[in-house]
Amino acid sequence: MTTTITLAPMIPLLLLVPLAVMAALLAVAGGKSSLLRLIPVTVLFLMLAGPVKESKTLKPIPDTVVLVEDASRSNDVPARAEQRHKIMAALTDKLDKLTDVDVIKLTTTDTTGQGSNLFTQIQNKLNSLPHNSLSAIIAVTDGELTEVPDTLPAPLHVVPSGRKMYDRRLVVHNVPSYAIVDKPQSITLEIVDEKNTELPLTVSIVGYNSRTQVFPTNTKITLPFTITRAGTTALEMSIPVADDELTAQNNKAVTLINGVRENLNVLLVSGLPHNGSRVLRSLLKSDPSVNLVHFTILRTLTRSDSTPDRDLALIPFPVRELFVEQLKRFDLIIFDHYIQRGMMRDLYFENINDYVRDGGALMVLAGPAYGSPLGLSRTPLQDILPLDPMANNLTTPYRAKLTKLGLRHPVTEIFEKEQTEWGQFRHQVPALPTGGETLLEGIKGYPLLVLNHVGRGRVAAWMSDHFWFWARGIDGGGPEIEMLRRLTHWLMQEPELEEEALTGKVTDHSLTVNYRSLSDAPTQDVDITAPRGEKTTITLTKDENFKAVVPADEDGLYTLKSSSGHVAYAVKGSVKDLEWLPKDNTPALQALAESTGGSYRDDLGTDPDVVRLRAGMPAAGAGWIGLPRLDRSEVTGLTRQPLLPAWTWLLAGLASLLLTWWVEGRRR
Amino acid sequence: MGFVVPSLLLALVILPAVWWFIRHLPPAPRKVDFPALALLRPLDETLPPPRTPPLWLLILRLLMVSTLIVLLAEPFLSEGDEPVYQKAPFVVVVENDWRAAPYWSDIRQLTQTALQEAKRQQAKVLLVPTAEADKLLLTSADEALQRLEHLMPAPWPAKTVEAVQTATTVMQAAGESTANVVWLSSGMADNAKERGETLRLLGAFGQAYVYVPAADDLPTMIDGVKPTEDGMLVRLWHPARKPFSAVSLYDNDGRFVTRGLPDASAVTDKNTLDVALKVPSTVTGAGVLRLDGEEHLGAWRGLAQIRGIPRVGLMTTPNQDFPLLSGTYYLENALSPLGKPRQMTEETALDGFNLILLDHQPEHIPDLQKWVQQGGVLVTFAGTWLENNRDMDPLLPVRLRPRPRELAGPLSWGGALKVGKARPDTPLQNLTVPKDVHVTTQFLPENAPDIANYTWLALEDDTPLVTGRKEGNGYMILIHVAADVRWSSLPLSGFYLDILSDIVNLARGEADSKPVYPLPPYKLVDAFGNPRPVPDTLTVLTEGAVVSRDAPVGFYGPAGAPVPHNLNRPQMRGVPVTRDDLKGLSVRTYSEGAARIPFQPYLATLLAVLVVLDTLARVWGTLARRFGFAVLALLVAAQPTHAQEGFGQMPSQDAAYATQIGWISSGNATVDQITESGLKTLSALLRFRTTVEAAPPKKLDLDADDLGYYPLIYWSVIPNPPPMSVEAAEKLRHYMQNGGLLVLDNQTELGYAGAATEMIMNRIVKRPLMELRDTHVLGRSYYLMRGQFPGRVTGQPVWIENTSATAAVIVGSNDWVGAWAADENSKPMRPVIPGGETQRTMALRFGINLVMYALLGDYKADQLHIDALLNRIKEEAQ
Repeated sequence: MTTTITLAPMIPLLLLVPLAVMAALLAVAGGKSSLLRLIPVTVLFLMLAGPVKESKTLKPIPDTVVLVEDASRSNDVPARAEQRHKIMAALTDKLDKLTDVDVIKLTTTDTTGQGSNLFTQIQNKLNSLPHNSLSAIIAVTDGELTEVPDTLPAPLHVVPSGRKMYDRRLVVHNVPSYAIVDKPQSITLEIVDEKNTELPLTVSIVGYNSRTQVFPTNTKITLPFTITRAGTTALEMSIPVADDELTAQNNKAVTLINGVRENLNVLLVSGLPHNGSRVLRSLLKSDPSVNLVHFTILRTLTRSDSTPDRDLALIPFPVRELFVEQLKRFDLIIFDHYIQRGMMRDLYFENINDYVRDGGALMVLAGPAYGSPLGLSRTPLQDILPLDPMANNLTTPYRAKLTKLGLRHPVTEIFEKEQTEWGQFRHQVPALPTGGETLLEGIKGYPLLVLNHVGRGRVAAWMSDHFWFWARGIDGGGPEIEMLRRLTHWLMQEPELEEEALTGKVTDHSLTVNYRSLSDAPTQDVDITAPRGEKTTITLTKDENFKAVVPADEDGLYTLKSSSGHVAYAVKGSVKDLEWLPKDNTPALQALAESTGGSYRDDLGTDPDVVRLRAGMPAAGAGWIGLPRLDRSEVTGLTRQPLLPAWTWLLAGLASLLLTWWVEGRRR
Repeated sequence: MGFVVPSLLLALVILPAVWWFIRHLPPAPRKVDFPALALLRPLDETLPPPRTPPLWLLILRLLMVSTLIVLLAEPFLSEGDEPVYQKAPFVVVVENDWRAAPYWSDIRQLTQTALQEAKRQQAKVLLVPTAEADKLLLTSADEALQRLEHLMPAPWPAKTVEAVQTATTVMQAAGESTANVVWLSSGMADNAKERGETLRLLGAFGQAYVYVPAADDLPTMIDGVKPTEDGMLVRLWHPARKPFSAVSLYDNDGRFVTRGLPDASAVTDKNTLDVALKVPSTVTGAGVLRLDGEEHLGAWRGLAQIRGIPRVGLMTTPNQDFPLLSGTYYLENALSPLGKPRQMTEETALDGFNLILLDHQPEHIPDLQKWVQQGGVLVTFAGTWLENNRDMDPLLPVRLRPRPRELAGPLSWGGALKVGKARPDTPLQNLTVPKDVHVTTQFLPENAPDIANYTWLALEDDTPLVTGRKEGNGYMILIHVAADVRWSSLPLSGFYLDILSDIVNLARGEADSKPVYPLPPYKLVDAFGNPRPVPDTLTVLTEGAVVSRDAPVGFYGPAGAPVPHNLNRPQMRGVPVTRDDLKGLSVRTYSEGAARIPFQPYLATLLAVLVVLDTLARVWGTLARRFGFAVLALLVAAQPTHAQEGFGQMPSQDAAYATQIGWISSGNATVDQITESGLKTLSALLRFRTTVEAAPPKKLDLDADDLGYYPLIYWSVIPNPPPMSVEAAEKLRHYMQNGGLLVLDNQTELGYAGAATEMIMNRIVKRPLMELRDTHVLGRSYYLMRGQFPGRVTGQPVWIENTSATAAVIVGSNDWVGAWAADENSKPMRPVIPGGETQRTMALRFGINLVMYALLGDYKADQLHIDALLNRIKEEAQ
């Protein structure tokens, strides 16, 4: 309860004060003899000013302190966790002893998929607090945060946990979520290390290649890479782990990049105009995403024609340009019914071989000439074709049939049921397989469709040129589009069509693990490493199609490793914001703490002291951090009453007047 | 006349004693001079001082004493007849919600009167403030008076029924069955039920005295706000009559922005009135609407955004023959709920637009770039026109691959793609992504490590569907699919509307953030609509909360994007309490209320002045001797004078205040009708498109009217025009000489008017003419006319005075008014030949140019040199 004297003037002070001053001035100006006048003037004007006694009953409102514990992954590494727990215990203990604060504890984690969004969580908390009730915020964090705001409504004290420990780390600045296949893409990152000026960085496109290069530390590096196939590719970057560093967790970064195939550049070389080339051509043309470069050999060098060139709608077959200069620009080369007529030198075929080994794709549809001296089998291309053809051709009608392997192979397995309804072919080049995977067989079990891995590239060979029968509906036709589509994309190394593959995919709260193999092993073990490092092993069985679903609640990167040596990654949450792209925001945090009137205290060890302060005092000092008092209170009662009752004023007024008059009269 | 503390008047009995005392002051001690010196004394000895003070001083002092006594007895004067109260406790119901704010001084005074009466009767009092009736106590009148000191109208709705119920309970608990009920009503109840209920409860106590405001004095409220293209339309509502108030708009910082004046002719129903506000496009952010002269919450409305609907322009190629094949059709459809977009041509000035949708190769890329820098939002829709288009790079947020990516060919692996998740922290973050939309073709950006930073919305394979980049103050946005249905099913899904709504908000300058509840209080207002501090105990605003004591009216949330919390419609509106409702009760309006006028301030002033005078009387002699009369001059303080502040002159429908085009009767009623209608359309268009405050045109009486008011006089000339007096002709000549612009329009349709025009030229105008070329400033005084000045017909040469100054006469025969004229439904009255609507558009542009030319002369010609001029000034300053 506080009592104050205030005025409730009977007439506005603007009028009252000048009159009072005037009267007082007159009394003084009148000289010594009129000084007595000051008494009634004072009494009467005081009365008119109406002094009242105001009593307020106040109830103090306790201040709020928000104590934030950053329990995000980066702050949860053992060394930091230990330090953090100590600091938290000390702070909690000391804050509990303060009676005039409400302590609100907040533990922030990054399971929401946003990394350590400490301040977002703080802000959410603050929003539910009464207005102006916040004295200070104390944050125990390692400074690795996704974002730091510009300002806070109360002083922020930061007590860092583990900031002073040596830690070598990889910081990813910019990572694209996708990359166009075969086009150079890049990622920007930085190696942060206080001790070394340069460190080796290993970059691997998982399952494809890996290279190590020395980079300067503490500067932004732009790291180029090229994704060569569609679908998810894991890009793994790592730096060596030092013996004395805080954690090895941030020495490695994995990002999943979605390879996106823009358009398919296909070079189709038809040995001669025929139904098949027409069909193949229109199949390829029907897809706007296919850029088809098609050459059909219409006239050979040996033929002669007297028509002047300017009247002929013919262009020369630009072999050199296609097979030397531009070869790498094609995604797929198709030889259809090709007959070697001296146009292409061996050099060009050797170029194609190199192109395939380097990751290219080749498809061959064998015409009747395939096994002949003019056939492709007599060119250097034979080196990568897994078949040894015979010179004769088989022409009895037959129905293509899935081989045992074909029934299991991802390219053809879907045809299992319908294969009996396929239309019949009437041509096959008998050949003996020399390798590869025979998916379809024809007459007498001779291979009809054979796939082959060559280096990093792929080859598909049809031992018949009657593929087009299907398109024309001959004998009921067949799945020409689906077959071509699947073949093409197997050639393009589409992950879904891989023969051997381990995949993981997180949907909602579960991780689906899928293993595919052409081998006959009945079980397969898969080690799963959760984002926080917890490891589990599951066994996939043939009975369940090598598929399993396990719970996945943590946000972040799941690493899958099969006993067959395959590695796969799956991500829950946004790739971009995960904390394995750690951002050391300590400078920003320091600036924020200072601008809010708080402090950044890496000098307090694990036992900081907490004191209450008057508002406006420096909020931190040697060994302690301060919580300003807000001195807020709620008015619960308010009374006002005149300082003196009316009759008192009456008596005082009359008495002082009469006294003055009397004295003045006597002096006269 | 009465006294609050009559007992003190007893002191008046001492007045005779004071009289005696003053008259018979004890004599001053006698001075006895030494006799020997008596001789030296001057002979003209002054008279001895009088034994008694002069009569005036006596009266002054008696007046002083009696004033003091009477003053302390707290006299008051009753105005009107006070209710006759019985000997019983007082129940004083004060409706102190915001509705009472306009009459608060009346309510306060009447409450005080009632409480003073209770004090005199020494009766107990139950004061019932309906907006904060949680603690009701039967107290002494003094305590109630104290409580009244702090009672203010509350910025939240009252719970009148509950309050009165509680009061009943309290009275019953105290064993009181009768009471003097005084009810200070706001004149409004939430609904008829509430009205009935309170009356029933009140009636139970016996005699009730009810004070209500007069129906006409009830508050005018803001019933709704509708954004328009150039500002907003504010609907006013009054419970009993047609409202009529000016609406003022203030920005987030409380600065006055603009004022909308009511137009009584705006036709709505009898209780509402729409007031249009023009908001300058430079002003954005939150704001407050207030009704001038209405001090209560109903006349206060917080706005999250004061910018109106953005002006949307379409830079597309409409396909008249196959509308479904053109993006224009889908974009217009998508935008239709947001307002009508304007098809732009290359000539259309960009300045007026906030958002432009681009779907073909623009010609002036640098202009668009500049426009974006200045705050425009450019949304480009991909299409085949973007193939290999490096020119467009400066207008695109990302660098594109030369060709689009085809997704759904028969051989492609993934097939058509669905839309993925909207990226957080982008303007589209709140978008609901439809599940059934397929994208078959898409423009991919070139690989870049930071592509994700510009991706606002991606497809399910992470490739961008919408990219955006802030550029200067504006945004460049690219939709990676075509506006029509050939590349995706987006145009059919309503998804464009969703995307465009978010982007439109961007163009409105609105933060894209959806407020994250709960929100902390930011700025609160009191019941009068004035700012008030945020009480320490107030917590946060939860989503969906309505205005209440815990969630009072004001702004909540971050200072950058505060969220207004307004009274909702049922809280705002209500039903007036009528005299019929109050049958059987003693009802007075506030103006009829018997207020007690306290005398204390007057007596207090009198006393203070008397004290000063008495002191002055005492020291007069001394002062006069010492300082002379200079002192007196000092004592007379000059009264401060207040500058007269007033409203600006209201724009009037009169040519003296607004721009009004005059026209001269042709002598043919049909032609006149067209002329008037055409000019009316032009005037409306001027108001709509330009800053010209154009009033409807006026038919001139050449003999009577003063022509000087009219910047432009339009004369549709037909053969044999009505005769004109010599004086009138002289007046017209005078008009032209003094900066007027006379437009003579040959109405060729009614026969050859050339002769008539020639006669007018020869007899009245007498000025040399030249053919109007597009180099003339009239061709670009507002729009660029490109050498065409069409009206209903076109191709006829237009003649203009050949002068280096501003021309005073324009002669043409394109029948411009014919092109402008429109009926009440804005339907053109005459067909336009041969150019159709495009020609009509051009004709209207010419009309605006004409008026601008008439108003500004060759201003535009000067602007060409403005850069050179500024440079020269800069150089000279250095």
